[in-house]
Amino acid sequence: MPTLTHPFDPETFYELTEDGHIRVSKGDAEGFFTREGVHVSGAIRHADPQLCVWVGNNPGDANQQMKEGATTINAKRSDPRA
Amino acid sequence: MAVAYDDLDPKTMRRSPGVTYQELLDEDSHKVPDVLRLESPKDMGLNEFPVSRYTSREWFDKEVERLWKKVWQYTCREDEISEPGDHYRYDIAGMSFLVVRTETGEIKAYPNACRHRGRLLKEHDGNAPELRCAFHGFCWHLDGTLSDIPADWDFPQIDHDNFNLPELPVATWEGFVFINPDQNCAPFEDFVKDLADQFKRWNPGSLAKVAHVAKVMRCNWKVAQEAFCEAYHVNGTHPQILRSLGDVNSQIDIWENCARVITPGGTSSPLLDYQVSEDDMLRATMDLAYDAEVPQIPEGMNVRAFLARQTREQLRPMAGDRVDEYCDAEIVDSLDYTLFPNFHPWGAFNGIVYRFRPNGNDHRSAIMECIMLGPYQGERPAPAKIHWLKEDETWSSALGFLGKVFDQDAFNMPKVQAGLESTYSDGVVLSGYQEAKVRWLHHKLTEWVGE
Repeated sequence: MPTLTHPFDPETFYELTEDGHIRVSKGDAEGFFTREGVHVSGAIRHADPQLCVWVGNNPGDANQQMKEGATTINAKRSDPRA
Repeated sequence: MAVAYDDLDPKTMRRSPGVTYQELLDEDSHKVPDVLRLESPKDMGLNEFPVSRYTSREWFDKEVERLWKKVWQYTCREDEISEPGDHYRYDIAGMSFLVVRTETGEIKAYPNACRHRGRLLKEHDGNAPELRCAFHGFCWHLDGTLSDIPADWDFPQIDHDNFNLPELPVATWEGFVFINPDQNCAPFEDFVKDLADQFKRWNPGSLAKVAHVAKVMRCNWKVAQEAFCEAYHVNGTHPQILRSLGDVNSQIDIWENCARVITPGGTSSPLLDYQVSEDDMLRATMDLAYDAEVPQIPEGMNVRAFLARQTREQLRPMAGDRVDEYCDAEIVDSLDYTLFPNFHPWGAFNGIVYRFRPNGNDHRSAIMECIMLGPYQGERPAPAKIHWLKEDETWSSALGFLGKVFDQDAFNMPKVQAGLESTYSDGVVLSGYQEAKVRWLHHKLTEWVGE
């Protein structure tokens, strides 16, 4: 997952850690957040929750499936109304 | 009675700083079609709309009676019921309908209810030679005429010639099948005219349905829908794409029964107070790291033309040389149309269609659907079946990058509903221009449902 900088604060970096948290850093300071932007630890206590949602969201192989033809993703599930 | 809105003058109306959408079109590397040169800004007022439209059971019940039982609405694609006996179950606001392909190839729609004791005739989409009730066996032909009443000696009161399934108005447009629960409704042609005129060039009927993903969202259907009716939310909800999206440069056009928001890609947001490099625009578009290498844009070519050129080549194997007829804007921009009340086809090759509707009779949950249409070569592929996401499944798990964007919108939805249930305000505040399509939807709701 790529490390992004926030467009409104280009000195602040957002990256997904191996344990599934979002590391937010600016200069020497850092903070760790859930994928919904809830603070877990660290000196930086606030993050943009939507950028956490974005950085923490890994579509896996769905991107490739969409490129190959989205029909491959359908028909795997049943209708929950049934 | 339709409300006439005053025209705004695009040259003098209040608007965002920065380049206009029409000025961006002036730089297109291809001929820009007339449909993108249309401008129809309207003065939609600055009034608030009642919060109760999202939270009140009473308002919802009025919507059912005055809107959902009266309005033309999209049900399925024609090729989902291509063979005689194919039927599609369409549910809206607690009501169920059957859309059926008859022996003669006609499409008919009926209430999904047996005329004996009322059981649903079909619980699922499928194919059947007749419409036989699974309760006591009353049966109708595909064309809705009565076929069989088991032990009919015991129903002397039934006139066999007058016991057909009630027929509902049906219409098709570009492969989409619409029905109207109101047997005395106004003609579909008038209803769809504004939209149909603009889509002639794009011919979505020539595209195949390649994906269909649905999910129940924990919010009123309008909360879900309105998240996709303006680009003003991009700065708060999708900050990662600000470097490559002209969010507040969007052009909003309003007609009687349809509206559109065109949001340019390959240009940076006027909300950023620094110059965004072409490389950073490409990184944002391609979801690359802040320091990733990006393709070199040829000298003299702008970002929009470059992205369009790349995308044309990706599309060419399936779309053929038709890609060369499409200008950069048709390839790169979001051409998001809405046909009242809940049908959202995108223009050009983008092939996205959204639909939002109440989840049964629950005014605090909605069904959000994304249908993807795509070009194809050779024989038309079978239409993709609907794929329901469970509550804990992400849109990205089904739709990849596009789904990641939806997940950010979906992140807001239950919180918007919770906030609307908690606010001390009587009304929802909307901007005058950028959220004009949301205003238009609410003005239309006022027409149909009332204050």
